[in-house]
Amino acid sequence: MILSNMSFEPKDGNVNHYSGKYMPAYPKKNDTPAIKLTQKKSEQMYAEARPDALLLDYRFKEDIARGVMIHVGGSYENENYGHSISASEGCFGIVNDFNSPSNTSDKMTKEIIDKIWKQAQKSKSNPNHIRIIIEKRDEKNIPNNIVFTKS
Amino acid sequence: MRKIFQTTLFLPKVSLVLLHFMLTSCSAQLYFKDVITGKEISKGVNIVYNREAIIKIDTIKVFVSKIERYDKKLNLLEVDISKAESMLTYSRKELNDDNVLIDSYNITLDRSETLKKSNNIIDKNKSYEIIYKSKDTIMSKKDNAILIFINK
Repeated sequence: MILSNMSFEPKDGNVNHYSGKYMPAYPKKNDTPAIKLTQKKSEQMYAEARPDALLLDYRFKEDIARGVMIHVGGSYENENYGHSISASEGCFGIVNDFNSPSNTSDKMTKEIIDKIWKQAQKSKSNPNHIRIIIEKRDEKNIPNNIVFTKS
Repeated sequence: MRKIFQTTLFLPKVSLVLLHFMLTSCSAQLYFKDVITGKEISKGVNIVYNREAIIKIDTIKVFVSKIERYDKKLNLLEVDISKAESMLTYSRKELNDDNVLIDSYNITLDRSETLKKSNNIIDKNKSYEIIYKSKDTIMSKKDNAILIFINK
């Protein structure tokens, strides 16, 4: 079995400021809000290359990402499907401590995103603007693939 | 001699007119509400993804990559892009505001030129063979690529 790294990292660690677009619900029809990342007024952004993302049709170029969001992560209660797992494909997941099917991340996600959104709405200089800064991690510490073999 | 020459000239013209008539009478514009784009999942292959992204029509399993929705004039209203957790919806306005997405997701804004020609669907100059047809669903295939037209 091969685990492939799909995480979003800025391509250039010095070009790491993003604008956040508030979304009332994601996953679709769920009750948890989310924030979508944009840069230079587009959600199509340069990113650290993820070659395996091409195999899965998740990206169309290995160093361009789209639809990167901050949303509910780990174990959560999906309004349509019941218990689900989230944030495995290049988005940022909000996960509570000791996350499990009986201790899901729904409540924490709502609290955090709602708090960010309310703060953004209060801004007098730039209402509704959400600024996100992502620190680029050292790629040497993030392998692109982890291969598991049966012993 | 002159009469024979005129006849041979005349016949090809009639043939061309007839051929043109036959071809155009076999082509028809399709009417649909949704167009699903995806890939056929081979037998024995198991894909775990968002629950709406795996559909089964007749005996064919399809891994859905996007669902485009159209109005009566076949202009795009919105599109769902398949993500790991669920579909991610883009309205027409969102696409107009961030129009690089239209090319990169290969979104079709107007499908009025999508045609049904005998047992094929002609879409963007590509010919997809119809492999399933019911009252409100037509599924077509080109290599591993699947296009499904739904009108319900």
